[in-house]
Formats: sequence, C-alpha cells, structure tokens
Amino acid sequence: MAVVSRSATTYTRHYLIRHEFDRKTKTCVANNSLCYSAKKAPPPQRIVGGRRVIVAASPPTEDAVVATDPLTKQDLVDYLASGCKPKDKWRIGTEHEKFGFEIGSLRPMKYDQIAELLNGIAERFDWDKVMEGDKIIGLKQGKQSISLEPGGQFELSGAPLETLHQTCAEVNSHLYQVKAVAEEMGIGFLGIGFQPKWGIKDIPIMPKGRYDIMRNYMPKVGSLGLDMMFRTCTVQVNLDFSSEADMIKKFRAGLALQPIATALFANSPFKEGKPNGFVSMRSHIWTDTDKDRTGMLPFVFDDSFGFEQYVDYALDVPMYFVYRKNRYIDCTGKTFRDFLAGRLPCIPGELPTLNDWENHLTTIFPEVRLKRYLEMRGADGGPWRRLCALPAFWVGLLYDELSLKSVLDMTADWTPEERQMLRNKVPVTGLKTPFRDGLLKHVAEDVLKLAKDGLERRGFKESGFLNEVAEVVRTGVTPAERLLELYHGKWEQSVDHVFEELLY
Amino acid sequence: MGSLDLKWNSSGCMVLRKVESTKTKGEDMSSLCGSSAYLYKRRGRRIRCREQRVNIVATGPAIDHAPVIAKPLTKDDLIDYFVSGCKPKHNWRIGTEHEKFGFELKTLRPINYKQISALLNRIATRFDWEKIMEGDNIIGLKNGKQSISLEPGGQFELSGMPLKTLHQTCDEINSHLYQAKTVAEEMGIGFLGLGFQPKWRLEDIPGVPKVRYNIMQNHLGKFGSPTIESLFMTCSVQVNLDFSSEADMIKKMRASIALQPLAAALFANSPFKEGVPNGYLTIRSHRVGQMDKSRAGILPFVFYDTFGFEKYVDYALDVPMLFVYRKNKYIDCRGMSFRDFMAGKLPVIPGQVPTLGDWENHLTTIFPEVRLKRYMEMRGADDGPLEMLCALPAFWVGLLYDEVSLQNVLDMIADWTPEDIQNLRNKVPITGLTTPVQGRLLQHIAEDTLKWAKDGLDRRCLNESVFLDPLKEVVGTGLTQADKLLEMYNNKWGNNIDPVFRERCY
Repeated sequence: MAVVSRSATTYTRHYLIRHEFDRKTKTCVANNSLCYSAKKAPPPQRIVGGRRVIVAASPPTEDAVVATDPLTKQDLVDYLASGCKPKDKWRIGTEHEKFGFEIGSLRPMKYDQIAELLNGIAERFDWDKVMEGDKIIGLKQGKQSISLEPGGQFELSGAPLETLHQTCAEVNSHLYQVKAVAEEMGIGFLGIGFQPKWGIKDIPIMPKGRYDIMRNYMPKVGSLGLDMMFRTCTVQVNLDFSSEADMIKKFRAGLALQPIATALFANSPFKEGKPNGFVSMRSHIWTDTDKDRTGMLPFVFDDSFGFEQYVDYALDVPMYFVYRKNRYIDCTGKTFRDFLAGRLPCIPGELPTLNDWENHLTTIFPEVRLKRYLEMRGADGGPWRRLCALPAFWVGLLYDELSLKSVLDMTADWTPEERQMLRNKVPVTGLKTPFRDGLLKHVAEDVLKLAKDGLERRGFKESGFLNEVAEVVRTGVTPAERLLELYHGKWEQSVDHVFEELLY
Repeated sequence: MGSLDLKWNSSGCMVLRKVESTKTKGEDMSSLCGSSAYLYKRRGRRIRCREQRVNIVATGPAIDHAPVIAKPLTKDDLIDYFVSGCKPKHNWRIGTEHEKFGFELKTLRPINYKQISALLNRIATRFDWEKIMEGDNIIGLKNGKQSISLEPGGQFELSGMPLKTLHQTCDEINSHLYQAKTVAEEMGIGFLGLGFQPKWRLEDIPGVPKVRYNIMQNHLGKFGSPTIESLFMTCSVQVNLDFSSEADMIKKMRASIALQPLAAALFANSPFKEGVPNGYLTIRSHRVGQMDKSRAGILPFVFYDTFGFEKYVDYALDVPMLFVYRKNKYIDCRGMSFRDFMAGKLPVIPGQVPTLGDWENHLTTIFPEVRLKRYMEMRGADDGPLEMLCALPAFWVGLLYDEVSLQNVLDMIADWTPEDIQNLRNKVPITGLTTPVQGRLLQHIAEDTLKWAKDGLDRRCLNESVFLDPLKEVVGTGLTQADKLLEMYNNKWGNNIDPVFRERCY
C-alpha cells in the first residue's frame, strides 16, 4: 500500500511530538542538521479570525533547507535514533483508510466529490486545508490529519494518544464527521482491504504529483503495484521504542507476527465482483509490488542489526522522487546512496537534506517500517471495531515487557524460511495455514493471550478492544471467510451486498 | 428542574465572553471578572501530573471564596452583569445542554451515587477529564469548556461548549455519548433519553450528595411534589444563545417565551409515570409549570413596554434565595431575597453583603421558561433521542439568530396576550400540537414556525437545516415522540413499560 502522503503526514505528527519533547528537555536529541531543520520549521501558528490554509503538500517544509555540511550516513542513523523516548512518553498513533463510493451506483467517488467532502468537513468541523497548488489534497486538525491515497482512499492519520480508549474515541469521532458530510452527498465508506467490485480502469486517479511518478515506475518492478496503489485499504498502528535494543526487539517481534495479524484481520476476498481465491488479497498484492522496497527484511534478525543496518538497507532502495520548489522531480532508478554522493542525474550536483531522507523513508514499504517509530503494516482495513482492535493487538504485545519477551521466546527459533513461508501462505489460507506441527490458529491463540495480558498489565482496562479478534481466533474463521460465506449464501453470489455489510 | 451546575459552565462561558466582549465593564465587574479570568487561566496552564489527575476542589461556583470587593454591589452592577453579555453577531455561539437518566441494564433501576461516581472517575481517567469535587465526593467533570454534572436525581448532564455551528454541536453530543456509553456499558449501565422517569417512584430514586440539593429539597418541598419531581425525575435539553444588545435581548426573550410551549409540544417525550401513561404528552413540562411560582413561569413582565435588563433584575431581586456559598459551605438562606442581601439583612450571615459571584449563583436558582444570564437559555423541551438533541438548538438558532425569521415570529405573536401564552403553557403538556391558540391549532403555527426556522438556518449558509428533519416529521404527522411511545405501549408492548428502556436507550 502506497503511503507516501500518509507517512509524510505522519512525519508532521511525529515532528510535533519531537518538537514538544525537545522543548521540554531543552536539549537537541539529534545532531545540528536536525536541530537546524527543526528550528526552520516550527509548528504553524493559527491565524486568529481566519481559516488557515496550509499551502504545502505532505512534507512540512516546502523547500528543503540546504544544510551547512553535507549529510553523512551518521546523520541518517541519528535521525532514526532520535525516535527513542522513555516509556512514559510512548504513544499510539493509528491510521486507517477506507473506500468512498456512491451509494446508488456503488462507483468509487471521483476527485470532485472528494474535494467537496474535504471542503465540507473543513468548514463544519474546523479543519485546516492542505493544498497542492490549487487542489485540496487533505485536512489537518491539531495532530490529526486526513489525506488521500492514489485511488482516492480516504485516510485518517490519528494523533499520538496515550490509551486505546482515546484511540477508539478518535476513530468514532472521525467517522461521525465524515458520515455527516458524506451522507448528504450520497456517499458511503467501505471498510474492506481491497476494492471488491471495480477494476483499476474504473478508479479515478488523485491529482498528486508523487503518484504520477509512482504510477509510471510501479509496472517496471512488479505486476501488482498499481493494484496496491489504487485498490487497497489498510489499518496500521505506529508505536514507539525506548532504545536501539528495544527497537530491535519490537522490530523482530513485529515482523515475525505480522502474518498472524494479517490472518486475524484478513478482509479482502473479492475482486471485480467475484471471490479472488485469497482471504487477504491486499496482503498478497504486496508480494509482487516491488521487491526492492517490500518484504520481511531478513536482515533484521541478524545479530548485527541496528539503526545503521536499516539505514544501509534504505540507502539502497531505489528512489522515487525529490521534492524541490513545490515540484516532484522523478528520480526513479537511483538510490539515496547515489544522492549522498551528489550523483543524481535528475538534479546533478545536488545533495540531500534530512527532509529528503524523511521523504525517501516514506517510499519504502516493508511489513514493519522504521522511522522515528515503528509502523505495523500487515492488516486489512475493516469495520470500526476492528480498527480499534488492531492497535490493541500490537500495544498489548509490544508495550509490555513480559509479553514482548514471551513473543521473542516463542519466535526465537523461527527460521527466515518459515517467516517467509507464513508471509506467502497466509493471504491464501489465513489461520488454517499449517505451521510446524499444527495450524497458525494455535499460534494465534497463544499470541492473543499475550496481547490480552499485556493490555491488562497497562492498567487501563483496554483488553475489551480485543474481543473482535478473540472471536476470530476462537472460531478460526477470518472476517474474509465470513464474507465468503455470506456471498455464497444469502447474497446469492452478488458482491454488491458487501457495500451494505461493511458500510461505516 | 434546576440546573445549578450551569454556574460552572457559565463560568467557563464567562471567561470566553470576557475575552470576546467589546463592552466596557464597570469597575466592580472588572475586578471580579479579572479574578475569574485569572483563576481560569492559572488553572488552564497548570502542568498536569502524569500519575494523578488534577482535582478541582470547587463545586458549581467558579470562585471558591468570593473576593471581598471594595464597594458594595449596586443595582446598576447587577444590571451591568447582563449588559456585559451583549456581543456582536459574529461572536454569537450555540451552547447545548442535555440530561439523561442512568439505569441498570439488568434491573432498570436508577443508578445510585456509587455507580455514578465510578462512572465519572472512569470517564475522567480514560478520556482525560478533570474531576470536580465537593469535599470527598466527585460531582462532575470538566474538559476545556465542556462539563459533565449531576442533577438532584442523578440525571447525568453534558453542558456543551459554545460552538459556532450546529454541525459542531451535534458532533460534540455524539462524542460525549460515545464516551459515556463506552464506560457505562462495561458497568452494565444504560442511559435513557426521556423527559420524565417512566417507571420508578420518587422514593426509588437515590439522591446525590450535593449540599445545595439538600437545601433545595428542604426549601422547595413545601411547594409540593411537582417541584420535587421537577428536580429529581425530569430530563431536558436546552440551548443557550446570545444577544447583541438590550433591544435584541428583548425581542428574543419575547419570541422565545411565546414559543416555548410550541417547543414543549414538538419535543414532547414524557407520557409515562410509575409504569403507566400519565395522561400527559409531556409531564415534565406540566411538573415544571407547577413549580414554585416565585421562581418559575413565563414571565408576563417581559411583554410589557418597560421590559429591559433592569426589569429582569427587579424580578430576580425578589425571587427568594436558596443559599449563599462561603468558605466551601452552602448556607441555607431560605425565605430571604437578594434585595435583602443587598441591604445586608440576611439573618444567616448578618451584616454581609453580596458579591457578583453571589448574584451569579442566585440567578441559577431561578427557573423560568427562558432564563436570562449573559445569554438566554431555552428551557422548554423534553430530553429525547440524539436527533432530537440536535434538533432543539437547530430550531431556536433558525428562529432567533436570523433577523427575518425573528421578525416573523414577533409579528405572529404581536397580538398574543400574556394570558394567551399562559393558557397555551398550561394546555400544551396535555393536548400538545392539538392545542387551540387564537383560533388556530398549534400544529398549524408549528408549520409556519418550522418554515421560518428552516429559512433562518438556510440564510446562515452552513447547510444546517437537515437537523430540523425530525421536527418536520413531527409537524407533518402530528405525532410527537410521546404519541409514538404511547402507541407502542398500547400495542406491541402489551401495556408493559419496561421496553421503553430499550427503545429510548442511547
């Protein structure tokens, strides 16, 4: 799933966290370049009495600031290291996407409709508009943002929150606001992982510069990249770490268990009106999008893994673009390592800034992504209660030392081949995937218990949010399989009913 | 019913209005407002400890200890208090409040204070509200300009913040209900959206430990059960609206008082008492109409040519006082008037004279159909489903915040006498929209009025008239919420009241 705008927006969110943290501690966690950059881009001040329009696309800084000294690899490592924060500052940032459709025809909504929707939400509920040229491409309110994915998928990037109760309240409030405006326009939103009815040719393309570059490049490196861009919806949670060692543990646990999350949240069994043979087509699509920038990152499990190794990996992922003077410059084919050496033919002689590094990191799509926090990216979009269950699952496992340790012990002897096998098979067989001497369902039972225990030790009474997935584990039937049962049963093989079943 | 905790909300609003108001205030007002603003700002800036919540150890009044001002209050100071509410139209806001009955899902019994305090504490913890304490008892929550408070019978109330649009208002109610329900469901508690307790008797309803309510109950009890029932067994929804000048206030007071019975009819939603139909469509409205006459009613003097801020002050000065708040204590002042207080003649605190904080507290113990403070409160409607909670502010904003619609209302009621209005007020709880007034049925007046409300909202250009849809249905069919409930009771419920708890559960 392309998440360029989302991630860059996430940068804005994280930047604000960082800014707050820096202000309190009165120290600069990173090096001079970061400090300099941070000072140049303070949080925007609201203009009293008028609606402030943010005339910038996702990067918070329009024009990258040229650092006094060229970036070194150490600067890139330090960028990631600056995400470390004490446990009491750990937060939960949830993002979810959804498909908008016309209620009568079920057709995907067009950009004109999305623009009207965004403007309506901005006016009624006091959000600031995010513009790219004269086109509205998103909204912002405090630390929350709304953005568009290439196929018009409508995304909320939530604020960094302390508890799952706050997370769920945030999603509820967002859905209320969106529905209040959308219903008047005859638009509904669908909580599913892959577009169930329409082909790529039926899906309007959003007018964002970066998507043009991606759209041209994707077919060269995989057969499913365009499907990923235009037809998938995901829910993800962004979580913090306290140190490099903690990051390593969470990264390994997150990667190993990502296929289990995929199975538990599997919710994309239809394509162009028919079953597609998968329980999570969205997940399958990522296996043939672009092998250079996706996958299970085997090197994370090497003894030598740390921030530096992730930087080495990212340096060699081919670039998409550079953003200069409000323009996206196509730099496909070259690496950030080339950029560090001033060898980008698209902008000869220029060197990268830290903002370029941030932008580049948002164009890498592994199952777990590292920035100044970790992103758990393996789950399909779904109904509201499952949007709340996904962060609950990962918070329970990764934010509690005991549960995290138990996960690491459980997965310690899993081989890279086994992890990859799970990754490849789960989109088809879900919880029924055979694993060692049993089924993945049995592993899921153990994992769910660890998540529940982890949440309970937080003391916030949050384990109720796991009820949705507890049911999936108990029955071994994923949400996708339930939909297939409906399709073959009372829907009499008409996929149109799914628009009602999964309407928010 | 009374809404004493409005005082807290009022304080929050007061701070907002102080910032926004362009009106110059008198010296005494300034010093007090300065004091309030200072307290408010200081509280707002306090760094919150992670491990413990900040507890606001103050009850309704924003000020724990009223500062002793240099000079005694004059009547002009009291008048200026109201004048300070005037604000230019672009600063007008919408403040909505609604109450609801909490009940045990299993037994349908009203929740007791122990359950309420657990509920409040959990909402505070999960959704980051600050607790409002009275001694060791939690009696409410606060979050920015929103507050949650308790009425005498444990009715759970949201006082919303001043908002610009009805979309924001409805969004706020939705968020509040989400938070309250999330916590309540875990405790096996539901909330009922009705205007009057449908099943249980007064003696079945646990009180809440707020001193002021004890004083109120002791004092108001002598006026008979309607007054007590108004306090313990009713839930309403109200909207608080602004005015730009004394002249504007006068127009809005007249229009809204005259039409308050119409709102009561449109929102009628309390046909049951002690498990059976009670003969009313809105018994809440009837009971409030039977309250202590010295502090309730339709205020005939509002329609006299002489009416203005000063006349409202004269009225309020002679409403018997209930209490004075000093050193974290409520002192029972039963029987004396604020006019006596101004003259330093309160036996319970001999020689003391009032502060502006006392005046604010006193104003919250007066319960007319439309109450004047630094804004106006439309108090005539039963509580109901979410769409009706959103429809009530839409109705009044459409009529009162648009000059053309307001003038239309004033023209329509120009020849209504105070007796006509009182007659309407008396009959509406029983006959609702079928009540005759000046040779027409109220339903027909409702049609005209609803059109003006819609036109008024349309002229705001915020796409808000959708919120009036539930009222269109009421007017179009002639059937209120109460009529529908009675129909269900008589038919599919087989004369059993219990299903109403499911039907009207938020």
